Amino acid sequence: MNSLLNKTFFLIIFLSSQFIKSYEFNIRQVGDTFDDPWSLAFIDEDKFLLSEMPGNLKVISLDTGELIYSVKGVPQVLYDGQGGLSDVVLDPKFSENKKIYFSYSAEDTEEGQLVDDLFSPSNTLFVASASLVGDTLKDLKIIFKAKAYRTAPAHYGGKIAFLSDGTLIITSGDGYNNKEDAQFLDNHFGKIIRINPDGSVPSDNPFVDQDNALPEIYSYGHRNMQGLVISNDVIYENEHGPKGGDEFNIVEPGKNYGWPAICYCVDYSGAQITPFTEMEGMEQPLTYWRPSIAPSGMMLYSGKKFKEWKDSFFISALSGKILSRLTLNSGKVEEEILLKDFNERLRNVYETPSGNILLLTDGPGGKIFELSP
Amino acid sequence: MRILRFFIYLFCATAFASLLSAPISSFFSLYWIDTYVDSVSVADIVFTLLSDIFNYGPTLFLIYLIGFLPTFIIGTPLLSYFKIRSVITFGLFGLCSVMVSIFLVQEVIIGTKVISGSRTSFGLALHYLTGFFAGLYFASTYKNKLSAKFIFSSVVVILLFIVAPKMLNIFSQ
Repeated sequence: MNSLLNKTFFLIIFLSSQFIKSYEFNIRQVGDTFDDPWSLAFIDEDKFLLSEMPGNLKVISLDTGELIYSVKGVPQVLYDGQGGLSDVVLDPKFSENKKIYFSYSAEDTEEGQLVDDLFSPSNTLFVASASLVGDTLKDLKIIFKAKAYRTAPAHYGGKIAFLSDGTLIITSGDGYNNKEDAQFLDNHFGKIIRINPDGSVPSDNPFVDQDNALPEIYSYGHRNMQGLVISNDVIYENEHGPKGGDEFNIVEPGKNYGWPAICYCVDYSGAQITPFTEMEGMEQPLTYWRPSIAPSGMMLYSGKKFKEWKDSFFISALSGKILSRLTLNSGKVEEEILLKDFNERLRNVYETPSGNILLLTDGPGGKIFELSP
Repeated sequence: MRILRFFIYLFCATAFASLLSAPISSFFSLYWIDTYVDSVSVADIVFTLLSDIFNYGPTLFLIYLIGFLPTFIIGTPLLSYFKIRSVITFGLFGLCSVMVSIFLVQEVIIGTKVISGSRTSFGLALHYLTGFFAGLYFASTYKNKLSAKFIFSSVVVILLFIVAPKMLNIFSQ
């Protein structure tokens, strides 16, 4: 009997091992170190714009990792806590108009917007557009300033992506201390925003005709959304939970994603935020992580180099120090954990024009790694 | 032995303040949810209270120690030296300890309001009050000898704090 059990056990182990693939990457470090790199955007096959949180925008060679030039004319940012220069994206017609869009946190002392705090300045999330002419930003215009004034430099969101109609989707985080505001439509805490590239509000936004609602709001009840991908006009986002409750969502107009009324989490301190995980009128995530991995950047992979990973979502993780590969099969999410032993806090993940995977690590002294088959 | 006794009772006073403070957070979170969605049941209240006492209480204990240790280590000998025996003074020491702890952790070290019940002035005042009561508790105990009953109760409470969070986790899954 024991022998039969042993054989069965080893057979199960053997069969399981056939489904566990181990992938071999070539990992190449691109250049030396960077100062809190946050995001990048390829301006051609070999060059990318890199945003660094202290407020630097640099053009870097993918091949050598060397600085080609630093971009002048970046506005003053608030580099503190989680704040600073954040996402940078190219206009869909960048090759013609050289226009870029970027998000950042900055102080805002506009009358009536001061938050009373002795120690920290009132600040919020900004999104600006500008033309990259030579090595200088021209025609800088602030197209969005979040009505989400806070003193704690935390939870800005700050991701930007384009829908096919040319409108911009922006993530605006809950500011940490203002989590309940994510449930109310009179502010931009914990909201996904949709605006036109000139900053105006599209007339078909879900709350344009609703009293006491800000017209830029596209969806609400979010926390700190750090990953954003739009594919075939479907908006995918991931957001940090506190302890547990990181989420991967499909975002639809006008919907409430529940934070902080529902959550698969407790607060960092261990305090209960809510006893509820679901509620009528509030959306459930496609998947959630408990314990947290702190999902950061996200990209949808084309399959150019790693053929078997076509249409996979890659999510970089900060505290999890992993690269998560997600696949969607008729609404169900399957996850594969990659780079388990890489031991780096991953800030963002991108695909290079040739189909390799590019990873940004977090913090001052952050690095860029290129993964190729 | 007197020093050991002093620290044991100081830890007990800090734990006392933490246990009083944890439900403040439960109250504020449940109050908000109830006003917003109007669906909080008695079971939700009990679960939240227990979860906060056992999961959040230990965090508060560590945070409050930042204030209680220096305040009482410096303050108690000073009170003896000046022969001040007012228990209210110990209450004020406790209040100041909580004040210092919250200020240091939220404004200087972390920068966000990690103590969830303290985000309003009323919530802050309640936290300070728990420090005051902890100070009174310390004043009434720190000269007592350690009895076997006291040591046994303390061990039971510590064990409870090790076991209960795991049990709650199992029930909440």
